[in-house]
Formats: sequence, structure tokens, C-alpha cells
Amino acid sequence: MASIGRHHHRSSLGSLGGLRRLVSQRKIASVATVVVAITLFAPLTTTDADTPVVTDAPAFTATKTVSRDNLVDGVNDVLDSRTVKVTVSKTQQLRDRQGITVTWSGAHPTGGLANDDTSTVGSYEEYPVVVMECRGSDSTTVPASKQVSPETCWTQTPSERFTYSQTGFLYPPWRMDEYAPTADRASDVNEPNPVPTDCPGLSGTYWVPYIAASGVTYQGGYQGCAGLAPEEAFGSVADQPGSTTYGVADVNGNGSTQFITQSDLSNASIGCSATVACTLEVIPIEGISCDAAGTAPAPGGLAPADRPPSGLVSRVQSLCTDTGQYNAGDFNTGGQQDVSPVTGQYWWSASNWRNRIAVPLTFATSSDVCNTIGSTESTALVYGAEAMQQATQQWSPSFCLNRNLFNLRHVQTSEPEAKNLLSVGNVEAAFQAAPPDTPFTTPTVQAPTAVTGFAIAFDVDGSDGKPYPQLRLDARLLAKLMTESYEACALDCLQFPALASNPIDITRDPEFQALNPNIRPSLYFSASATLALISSDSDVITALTAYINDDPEARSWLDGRPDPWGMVVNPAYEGITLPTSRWPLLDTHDAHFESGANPCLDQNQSPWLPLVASPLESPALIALNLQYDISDSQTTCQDPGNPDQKLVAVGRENQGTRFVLGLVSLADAERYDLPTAELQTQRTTDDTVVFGNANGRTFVGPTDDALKAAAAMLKPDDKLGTWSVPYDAMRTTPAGLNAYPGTLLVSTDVPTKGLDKTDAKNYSELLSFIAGAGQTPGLANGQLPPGYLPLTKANGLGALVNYTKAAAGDVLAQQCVVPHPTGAAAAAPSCNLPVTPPTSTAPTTSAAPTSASSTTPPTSTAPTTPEQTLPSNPVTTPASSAKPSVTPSSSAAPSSTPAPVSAGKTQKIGPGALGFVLPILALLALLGLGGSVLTTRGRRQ
Amino acid sequence: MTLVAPPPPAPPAPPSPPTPPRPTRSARHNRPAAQSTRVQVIRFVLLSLAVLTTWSVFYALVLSPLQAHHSQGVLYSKFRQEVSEETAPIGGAIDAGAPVAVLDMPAAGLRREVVVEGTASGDLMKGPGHLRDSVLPGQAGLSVLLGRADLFGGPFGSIASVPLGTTIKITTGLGIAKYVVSAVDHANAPSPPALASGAGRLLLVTADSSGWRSGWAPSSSVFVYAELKSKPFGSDGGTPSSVPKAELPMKGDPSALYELVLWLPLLLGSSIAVLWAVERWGQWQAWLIGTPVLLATLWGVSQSAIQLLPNLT
Repeated sequence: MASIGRHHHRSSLGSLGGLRRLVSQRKIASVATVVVAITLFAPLTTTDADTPVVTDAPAFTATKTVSRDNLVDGVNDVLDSRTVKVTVSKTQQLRDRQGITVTWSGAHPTGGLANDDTSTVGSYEEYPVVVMECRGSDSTTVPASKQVSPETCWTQTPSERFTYSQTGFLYPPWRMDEYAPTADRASDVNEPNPVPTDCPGLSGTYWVPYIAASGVTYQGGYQGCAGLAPEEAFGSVADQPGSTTYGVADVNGNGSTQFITQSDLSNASIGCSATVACTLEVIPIEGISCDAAGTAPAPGGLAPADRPPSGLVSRVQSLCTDTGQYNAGDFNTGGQQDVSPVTGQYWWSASNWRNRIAVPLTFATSSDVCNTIGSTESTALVYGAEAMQQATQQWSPSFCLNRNLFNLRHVQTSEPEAKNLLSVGNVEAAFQAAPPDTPFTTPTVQAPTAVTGFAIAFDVDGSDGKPYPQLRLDARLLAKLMTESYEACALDCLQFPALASNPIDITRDPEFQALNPNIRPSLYFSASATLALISSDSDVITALTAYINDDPEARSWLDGRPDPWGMVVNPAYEGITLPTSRWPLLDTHDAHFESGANPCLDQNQSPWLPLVASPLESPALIALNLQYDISDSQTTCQDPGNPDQKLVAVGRENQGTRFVLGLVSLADAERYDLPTAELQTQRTTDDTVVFGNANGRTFVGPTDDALKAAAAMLKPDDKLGTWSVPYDAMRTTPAGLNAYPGTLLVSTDVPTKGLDKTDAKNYSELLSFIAGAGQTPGLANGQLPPGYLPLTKANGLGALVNYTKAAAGDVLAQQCVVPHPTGAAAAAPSCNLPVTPPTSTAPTTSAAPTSASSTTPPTSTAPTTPEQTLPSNPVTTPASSAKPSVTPSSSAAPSSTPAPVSAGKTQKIGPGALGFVLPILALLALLGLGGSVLTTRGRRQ
Repeated sequence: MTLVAPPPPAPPAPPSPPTPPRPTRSARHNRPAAQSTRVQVIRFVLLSLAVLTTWSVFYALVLSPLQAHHSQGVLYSKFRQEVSEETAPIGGAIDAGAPVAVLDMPAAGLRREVVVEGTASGDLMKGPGHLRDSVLPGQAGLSVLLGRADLFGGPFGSIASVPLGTTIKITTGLGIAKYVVSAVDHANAPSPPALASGAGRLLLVTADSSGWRSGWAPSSSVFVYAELKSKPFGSDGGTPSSVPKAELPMKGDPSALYELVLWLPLLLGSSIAVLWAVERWGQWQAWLIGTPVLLATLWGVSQSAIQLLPNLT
């Protein structure tokens, strides 16, 4: 939205340029200096932020033949050779903690599986596919300091980058590596000199130090004795689970993993960012290629003195060419002595390293750039919806990096809080996901900003131990999880008769089993008996509970009717009033475990089901937990029996048996690659009958099409001043069959009264951006990330875009005007009257707000306060057209009726005293001329 | 600039004649000298005032039409190109100052008059302006154009004198629309009937004045209504539902004060520089250099200052 004065500045600058050419004479440089100085002060013209074209990140695909060799008497024998194909879902414009899917085929089947393939134990798997993030480019054309090496590849624990001979045997497999240079086959490699005193004296050590982005080298060593990077950790005290993955290939050589990329925001030692290139290394472990005799040609081979004695060669040979002790798919039972040459422990060995497949990664400019740049610029703060977080993170750099714009800062608070702050005037803008409970007291636009949604993210493994592909939930199952109606412990530990005959968790609930076959009963009762929710007020909870409330099946169950299998609602929640913006924890029953089963609770009783529920403060934390398969139910007793024993979260669950559910925003789910459940939209079956499958029920996931279908059903409501999600219509009309019920419309609330000029202009520009460039889908700065349906005419959202465009003008004008969602012409602004929402929401047939501009010509019925009320502006009267003839109260009536209006009279708009300016100037000129002539004559006399 | 070789050193001054002694420092308090200084100051002030005000009136009445003529030429070629490329704005929030239509109303002396978006005083310097919260000409609904009556060529100066039934042709990015004048309302005249749904109407607004005030001191405003006779174009929507106060009829644009504040020191500085140059270089050299500088700064000052006046003048 160009400001009005801008063009004049431009022309004045132009004439100044000409002026400067005219006065280029050195002697009058003083004048030129003034000119230059003034020019510098003149406001600069605005250029639009350049928004790069959407570059859809191409999936990476590469194929490589990898092999394990054996060099005997100068003859290279290929022991195993495979053609491995790797695909990666996203490689460009990554953001911190973004989840990407790495898939492989053709790899050697993996054995000796670990429960957690991102842990130290995972590195002892045999033939894993190691996926790790490394700083640098895997290219020989860049300077050596910017190249990838094992020293720049991240591992979460020191044990993954240090090895030693546990038996003291002098010829461990890595020393027999055919492809390693001689120096890397010494008896101790990379050992710091002197060895730190904390380190035990070990023999046959190979150290892979970590070189951090800052240039500091962390030696690591046995249990990290020689120093660890701050983000590294030994044992289970890691701040966050590692991302380095020892992926599993099944018997056919196929597999995949969700890899969590880290930027410098969450891992400064890796230091990947928009400016520091990084690479995802995928290393299909084939095992060490052997040169048992140590006679490989230079630069390999062992020094003659180091070579194993000829009597030992055959033993060294058999150790080095060992093919592992586990069959493909077997779990690691522990107890191995020397590390097998086919484990992930040797990912850094030259034999394995040469088999790597490099996937270049690029990271997006982080929104943190705005914290350092332009901190003195004017800032537009918007409070509220965390569901907007992903969008504002991509949008804000395009604002703060353009010095002609302002800083956009999104302060994430709960939506009801933001709306309260806005209505009392403490903040100037808020993102909401639902209209305020009580209408705003100042005229406030609720400009549609994004169509997104909530999602039930799940980490669930099927009975085959693999991630369950698609979970399906209906409203009643959600209600069961939220109302603490599963006991979450065996043997009726609550001694609460009302719940005694209910299943103990959702995986044992026949309703869940009918909709989601092939899921084993969960081992984590607490995790599978609840849905991780937000503890604070939230419009998202409002939407979720409205969806549940509107489903007759769920509502009647909440009101006390048992489900077909006899499960009942927890009496504490029976008849609960919905929707609500904050989910209460109502059950107060203590758990009664056998003595010793949970010493923490024995010692300090507290209600059990609230511990199971353990809601979190923010949706972002729920997304984090889901990303790392963490259950936050505070039911595990840490250090049982010790004085400092305490209840902690269940924590990370083991792969193959995971079960966690959480309420997240759709955009978070997209960014972190979280699978999301399909929700039931419609049902044709009788809800009193036991069912064994999902027949007759329709489930819809949060796809773009499903969002589009839901968005098409959004109902404009002039009374609320926004659009609402019609759950009822979604459940009953054909259009609702494929509409995602979790759809949310996020709107930006900005008052059209009382903002100062700069703020009004900034927010107006923000709204124009939202209605225009901000809806370009993509991962680059200024674009709309996945998880939001672009608000465009093409997606059938023209009316919403029009509202936001009109709102941009109204926010700039600050004349108390608020557009109407139905497209009815805006009501007459009356800045000195309280806002009165229209009494009827009769929709007009007009497609656009302007086409209803029809009725009344200027009238002469100006009220007594001409400055503040509209009728003194006779031209906006016909333009905004809702202004009828006489009383303000009738001004709200929709004006599409062509009934003739009693003709008023054209009002006089005078210029006032300003109309006389030119004659007065002329008079002054005459006076001045006359006076100076007089004085001249007087002087001459 | 160096014109000639430095003049030869002046011959030694002849002994000064005994006639009136030059006033010395001590003589400054002499009465006649003091009086003449005071008169000189008064004369200077009056002269400056006269120059400034004469310039302002001259700029407003004589120079501003030239400026508007230039803007029209530039805008017309720009708009012509946009129409041929189909990039002319057809709805939504259009940048202020962008050309949106070409107006032909030969009866009022308007031929190929380019209409710009926005009606602040500065926008109307270039030509008639389209009120941003009304529909574009040719679309169903009321479209409002504001134009100056007197200054900057006074494009709308004679719209009130056209006979009813006069045809108005307007070309926008949407196509060509035809309107027929149905009413000319001076203040306190009855308003035309309400517009039927789906019909289109054009409202031209300008300043009105009579007697000695006509042409430079407006007293009120005049409205010319014209009904859409061609088929209405569809609307893209997104029209702002209100505009800043400075874009309403007969309002000045106070934001031009900022510009004025920037121009005034420039004028002051260049004046001082010219006076200094008169002392140092002599009259002709100084004015040769100084006149364009002074003219340019004066132009800037008056262009900013005139935006403070009502936009329909």
C-alpha cells in the first residue's frame, strides 16, 4: 500500500538530481552540500520485498554401488557388493528440527537391532544404514576447511566416535582397513598428546575428534574424558535425543527413517545455517575391507614393523572379515567382546566412508536474523496463535531484511489472552483462531490470515513393529482420552468402581481396535491412555471441543450413555459443558499400587489421572515430544527408594512399541514430519451397535483438498465479524464428507480506531502482505510453509481475501470502519459511538463488497458533530453505501434493496477559510510590492 | 567558470576626496545611518514577501498547469502501455498515484484526461483522481472521481456547465464504459434517486465558486452525476472500505508538511548562498548560477505547500 506522499518524494528527488548537475561548480559546493544533506534526509522510496519464486524442494535420489573387499596377496576379492538407492524427502530451505524422511533400498540387511536406533546402542547394530548430519560440502572443489570429514559429522555421544581394543588385541579390524592410509592404521590414532589424565590407559584406540563450527576441537575419547561439545552428552543425560541414526534395512534391504535436521539454533556446534553449508551423509555399512597382511599399496598398508606376524595373519584375517553374529532382524542381546567389523561403530573407517552417499542440505535464513538486524526499526507486534508460528517464522525475515519495511514480531501467547489484551488496548494486533467471546469494544477488523488446522499427531507402531501408517479417530475416542476415562494402570489400581470395567487404555478399547486394526496393546499404559493437550486457554481447544460437542455419538457418551461395549465416561466429566477454551483436569482418585511398584506414589500420594494427562504449556512442546517419541505422562518414578526420588515423564519410548498421541498445529506437524490422524467426518451406521470395522464411517486427514473442502464451507457471520467452522454442516451435508473437521481459520485482529499513524501504516502493510504475497506457497522467506492452505481466489477463498484487502485500507484510515464478512457494505463509521454489530446477518447476493454500493446520494442530514461522524463526508456516504437517509440506527440494514430513497439535498462542502488562501497571497504580494516601492522612493528622497 | 585571466593589480588608489567620509564604526550611531538601515531591513522584508507571494500565486495560476500537463503526458503513455499489456489495474488495493482510467468528455474540454488512483491533494496535481473506496468506472455501483476546478489545469473546471445528456467515455483496464450526465448538483440541490441494484453511476466532484472568487477561491463543491449506459463490468472486489481523511473532497493533505519542512531550509540555504555569491562574485555571475537553484527550490516549496490547500481547488 503505497503512501500518498511517496510519489511526490520521488519527483522531488528527481528534480534534486537535476539541480545537482546544474550546480556542480566547486565554488558553490556549500549549496550542493545542503542539497545532498537534504536529499539524505528525504524518505527513501519503497521497493517491494523481492520474493523468490517458489522452488519446490526436489526429492533427492541417488544410487551407488557399495562393496566390501578383501585384499589377499595383492588380489582384491569383492566379498559383498550392493547397489544402494537413497531418496530424501526434503533437502532445501530446511529449518531447525525439520523432519525429513530418508529411504533406502538395496542395503545389506541389518542385524543386532537396538530399541533406539539413534542411541549409542544403535551404533552396535550390524550393517546399519548410518544417517548423519555433517558440516561442510562433500566436494573437492571447496577449500579443505569447508569439506566434510568424519571430524565434522555429528554424533550425540562420544562412544560413537571412539573405539578401543577391549581385549587388548593389537590388530582390531580398523587397523586392517585396506583403504585407510598408513597413518590411520597406527596402534593409536588421533590420540591427544598428552592423553588427558581423566582418560584411562587403553590400547588400540581410534579417536574421531569433533571439530565444531567455532573451530574448537573436542577430542571426546572414552566416555568423553577428553572433552565434549556442549550439545554432546554421555549416557542418558543428553538434552535431547540424538539425531544420528543407525537405520535398519529389512531382509530385503529396504528401510527408512525420520531424520531430524538441526541448524545452529538447536546445535551451535554443528552450526548449519543459511550461510554454512551442510551435508547429510548416508553410509550403508558394508563392513571393513580387509588387508590382514598389511601389504596394501601406498598410501595404505602397514609399516613393515607394524604388520602382524605371519602366524597371526589367519586369525587377524578371520576377525577382520567377520560377517557378524546376528541374523537380519534379530535384536541385540549384548555381550559382544571386540566390536565386529560390520557394526555402525566403524562408520568413520575409510572402507565405510568411501561408500557414503552425500546429500547436500540447504538451510533457510532463520527468523532469528531479525533479532540482530534492524532492532531499531519500528516493530509491528502481533500476539497470539501459536498455530501461526511456522508462517510468521518464514514471513518475518522478508520484513526485517527490507529496510523500507518494519520488523514483524509474533509474540506467541494463547489466543484468548491475546484477544483480551487487544480489547483492553494493551496490544495493537492479535492472531486469533476463533472470534472473541464478547465482541471487541473498539472497532476491530478480524482479517482472515491463514486457513490451517489442528492435528492429532501420533507416534504409533503397528503389530509388525513398524510405524503405523494411518491412525483413525472419531470424536468419541478423543472424548474418552480427554475425560480421563481410561485408568492407565492394571488391576483396578484406582479402586474406582465407575471406571473398573472400562479398558485400561485406548489400545485395549474395542472401538479403537475396530477403527485401527493391527496395533498391539500398548506397553506404556499412561501414554496410551491420554492425549497430550495444552494446559492453557486456547482457541485450538475450543475448536477441538466444539468438534467433539457437535458429534452426537460423543456428546451422548459424555452425557452418560455407555458406548456399545459398555465403556462409560469418568463421572467427574459427565455432562461437561462444551466447547471450552481450557481443558480441566477433574479426576481426584489416588492410585493404589502394590507396595513397591511405584515408591514415589507410595510416599507422596497424588491424584493419578492428572499425572497421566500432564498437559504441556505450549503446542510447540507437544510437537517436540511427538518428534522424539516422548510421552510426557509424569508417572515414572526416578531413583526409586532414594531420598530424592521423584516422578518424571515416561520419556522416550522404544521403537517398535511406541504409542504417543498429541494435539499439535498442522504446520508444526508438517515441519517436523509428524504423522497425523484422520478424523471422522460422517457416519451412516447406528451408534448403539457394536462394530468391528470402520465401514460406514468416513475419516478425513488434513490434506490440502480436505482443508479446501472445509474452507469452502466456512460461514460468514456479520454478528461475529468473521467466518465460523460449521461442524454441524460438516457432519450432515455431502460437502462436509471430505472436509477436515480440524480446520481453523486464523485471523489478524487490528483495531480501526486509535492507532497512531506509523502503526496503522505498518499493520495495513502487513494485512496487504497477508492478502497478497504472503499466500505464495513455498519454503523460502516470505512464503507460506506447508500446513496452511493459501488464502487465494483459486482456492475458493476470494471473499476472505477481499475482506483482508479491505481491512488493510480500513486499518490505514483509522476511521472506525470494519468490513463485513458477508460482503454487505461496511456500516457507517461512527468513531464516537460504541460498535453495534448488525442486528441481522441477512446475506446479500453480491459477490463483492463493492457491487452493493448502490443506494444513497449525498444527503443534507448532517448530525450536529460534523467532525466525527460520517455524514459530513458526503462522498464516502454513497461509496460505502450503507448510509441511509436519517437515523444512525437504520444504518446497519443491508442496502441491496433498490427501493428509492426519499431524495435529500446535496450537501455543501466548502473549503472554509482555506479557500481564500490564493487571494490573500495575491493581496500580500501587492502590499509587499507597494511597501517596498514606497520605502525605495522615501530613501531616494 | 573562470572566464578571463585575473585582472592586473589595481593601480594605487588616488588620495580619497574630502567628500562624505565613509561611516566608521563609531559613526554607526548617527541618526540618518540608523534610519537607512532600518528602512533597508523593512524594504528587504517587504520585497522578500512580495517575491514569495507573487511566486506562489504565479506558480498556482500559471506554472501548475504546465506541471499537470507534463504529468498527464507521462501518465497517458504509461497507461496506454498498461492497457495494451493488460496490466492496467482492475481492482483491489491500487497504489495511490497510479493511472486507472482515461476520461473523454469533450463537452467539458476533457480529452484523454488520465485519471489517477487516490484523491489526496498530491494525487490530484496530476489529474482527476478516483476515490479509492468506490468502484472503478464501468463497474456496477457508484464510482467517484474528484478533480481540481482551478489549479493544475483545472481539469474539472467546466464539468458543471455541460448540458444534461452529455456523453462521458471512460477507458479502464476493464474496457470502455459510457456514461450519460443525468444531474448537476450545486449545493442544496435535490439529490438524484437511489441507484438500482446492478446499475452503475459516475459521480464527478469538483470545487464551485462564483463572482470574483471564480477561478481561484472556491466557495463550495459541485456534483455531476452520470448514469452508466454500457454493460457493467464485473468486480474483482478488495476495494478498501474507507479512505484517509486527506482523500475526502475539499481536504488538504497535512502530511505534505513534512515535505515542506524539508524544502524550506533548502530554500533558505540557497537564498543565503546566492546572496553570499552576489557579495563575492558580483551580480551577474551570482544570478546566472543562483536563478535556477532558487527556482528549483521555490518550485519544491510551493509544490509541497499547495498540497495543504483543499484538494479540489
